[in-house]
Amino acid sequence: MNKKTKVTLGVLLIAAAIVFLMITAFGSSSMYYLTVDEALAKGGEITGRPVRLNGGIQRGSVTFDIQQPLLVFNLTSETGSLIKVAYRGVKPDNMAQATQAIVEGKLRQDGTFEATKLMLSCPSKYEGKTYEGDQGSR
Amino acid sequence: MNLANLNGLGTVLLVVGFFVAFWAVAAYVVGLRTRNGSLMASGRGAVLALAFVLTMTVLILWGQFIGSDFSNRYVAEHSSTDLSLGYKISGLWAGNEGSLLLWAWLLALYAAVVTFIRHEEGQELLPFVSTILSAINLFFLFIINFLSRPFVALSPVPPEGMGLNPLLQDPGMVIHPPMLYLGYVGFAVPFAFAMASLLANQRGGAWIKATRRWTLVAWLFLSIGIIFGAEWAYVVLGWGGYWGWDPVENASFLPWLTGTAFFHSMMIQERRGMLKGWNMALIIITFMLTIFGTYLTRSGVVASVHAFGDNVLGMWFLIFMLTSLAAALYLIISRRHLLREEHQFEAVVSKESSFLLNNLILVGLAFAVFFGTLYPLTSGWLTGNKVAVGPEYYNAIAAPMGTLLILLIGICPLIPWRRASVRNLMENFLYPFAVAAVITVVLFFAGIRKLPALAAFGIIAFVLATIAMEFFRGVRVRLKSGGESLPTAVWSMMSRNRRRWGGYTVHIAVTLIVLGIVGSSSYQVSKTYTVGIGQTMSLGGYTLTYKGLQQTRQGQAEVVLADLDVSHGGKAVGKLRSQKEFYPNSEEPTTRVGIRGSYKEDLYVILNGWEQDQTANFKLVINPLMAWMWIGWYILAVGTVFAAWPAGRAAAAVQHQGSAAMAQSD
Repeated sequence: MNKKTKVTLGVLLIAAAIVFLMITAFGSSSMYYLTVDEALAKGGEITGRPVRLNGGIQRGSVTFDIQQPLLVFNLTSETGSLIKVAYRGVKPDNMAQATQAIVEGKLRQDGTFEATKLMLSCPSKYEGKTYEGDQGSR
Repeated sequence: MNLANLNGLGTVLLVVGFFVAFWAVAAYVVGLRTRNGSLMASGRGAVLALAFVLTMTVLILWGQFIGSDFSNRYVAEHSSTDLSLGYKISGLWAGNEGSLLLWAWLLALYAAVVTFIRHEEGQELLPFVSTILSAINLFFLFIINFLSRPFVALSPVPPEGMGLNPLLQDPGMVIHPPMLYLGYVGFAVPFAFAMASLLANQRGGAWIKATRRWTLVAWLFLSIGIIFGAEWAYVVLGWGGYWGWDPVENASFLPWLTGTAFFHSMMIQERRGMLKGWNMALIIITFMLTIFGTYLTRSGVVASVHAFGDNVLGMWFLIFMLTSLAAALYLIISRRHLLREEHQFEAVVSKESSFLLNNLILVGLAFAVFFGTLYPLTSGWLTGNKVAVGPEYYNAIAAPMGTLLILLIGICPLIPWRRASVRNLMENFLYPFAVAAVITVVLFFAGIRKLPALAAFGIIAFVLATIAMEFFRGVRVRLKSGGESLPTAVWSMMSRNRRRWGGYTVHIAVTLIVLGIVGSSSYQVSKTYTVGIGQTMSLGGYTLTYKGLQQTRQGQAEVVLADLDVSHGGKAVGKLRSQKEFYPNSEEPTTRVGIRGSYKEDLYVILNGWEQDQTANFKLVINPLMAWMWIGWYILAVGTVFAAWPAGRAAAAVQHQGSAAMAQSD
């Protein structure tokens, strides 16, 4: 086969390798990305499977036991339903300011969510506290 | 000076800027079509005028920050009277409106420099380039004038501002946005040159030669911007790592990947007239990714801890991206006859093909990252279920691809153009391979058993050995011929061919960065402790004694800091401090971790919390080889500047001869 064919084959080979890597990497790390309502609706279907939940943090529901450490709070949806989240880890600095949270982990049989990762919506660089009044640019 | 008028002045200047940009585009377009020299000159003047107008605008906004003019809502939202001067200045880019103004200003400055300096190559393309850059700026000025305004008046004027977000009160966060923007905006220049080349119906690669330095400059700033973001994540976010594959992080990494690919494939077009279409596509993609990165950060289209929603803005960005993409594609397709290859690939193993492999890996990795970043969106549309991928996905792809790329860094510079023979492969690689094999065996017996890490270390050793060999050979030749001392010989050798030796320096740098990444990801250990005063904690041979807490004031913040005595292997080695900072405008503290770094590893301590009796909870982390990542970045910056620095005339002559000879030989 001529040079051009060889080079083309090489290119295809690399491309195939990358796609293969993507597919295998996907399987082991993909997780459902759900809101609190969606998770409650799916219920048993997703119990025990990797899930990323997105919801609001219920004011006053946050407790932190420094000894373990264990952070517990309620994740809320817009309709008012909630899921109790237990996170074994460091309480993030901006926990009291944050209004939204993204948690990754698994839904337990008892309906609570065991989180291995916790991310809070960053109080803005670009938003956050603003002044009421002229809302012209928003 | 009546401060209240500054808002009005700023607004007027922005409107003027919009019309000046419009005039620049119109004058150039009509001037080019009708070959009207004076219209084009008027366009040139408009480019300069725009730079001037936007500089005035930025100075006004800065003046408002420094003077704490809270009649401007933007200033009131991001500053306070007790903020230090440096943070008042950085307040300019603390929010959306100011960041977009910064973008427009930097673009105007770049456009003015491009339009007015003398280019060795591609001078005839300049009118087209200026038109395109002004058109891009027209979009940003549209946004700034109508959607995201930095000069909105607040009434009544509050006596005090809200202050700067504490997470941003960090030197790294001050530099990170302007550096990133200088990088993003910088890539508009090669993009404009590429499109100009098509518009001017040029067959040759003048645009490639003209934009080499611009590409380097943009790439340098983008690299610096990314590393400052990582440094901030490491020290202030304080979770033990520096990169989370967060969508906004990925958004800055994508143009870096394609930009690196572009910079390499540029060389092939320069030397061998090949890959013309590929280069066009690559620079278009890179430019699109810089706009996409800006879009992703501002639109909240992919939920991220960094992204903030403003869907109207997002929609306009999308429109802009799609329109420019369509225009660029139209240009390529209608002018594809200009992009015919001058040569073919002559051998499967050749410098050209190894560059192609480098490109495939970088672009392939970019595709994988892009796909993963957007997957929550696309899966939502396609399957109704939103599925996201975690860092494991990205790491599983980046690790093998990165390793292969590092291997290429070692091999590629030593493979000849056009065709490689077994003999020259042996000559070039035997010693480095032997060195690498020995080191790998030594590491294995020293306890490094994780196969991927061991392989990576071996490859890193190989690469450093090949580059060292190149330096050694080059210097040896110089020492033989002249009566120079060793340092002089090294310096004059490097100065005679800045591209080559600057490139090797950057390669060393990238290899060291990967060394830091491999060490800190493969062998990181961590442990959490709750201790009372006087108690000890240990990890990885270190013993830390908790001495207690102190409360003090640093700048705006009340700081609670924990003092720790550190000993290693029984010997006292120093102290560590880990703290939490409480700012007046924030209910929760920000972290500043304590780090004791050495060439071998970082000992990293996070103060999580404490009780009334000063019992405290700490997380200890050991990140092996972490320092090499930061060292690598410094070397990368130095190497890039060196490579881009204009050569003295004598050296330039040598470089010219050298590259001509290279193209002719083998």
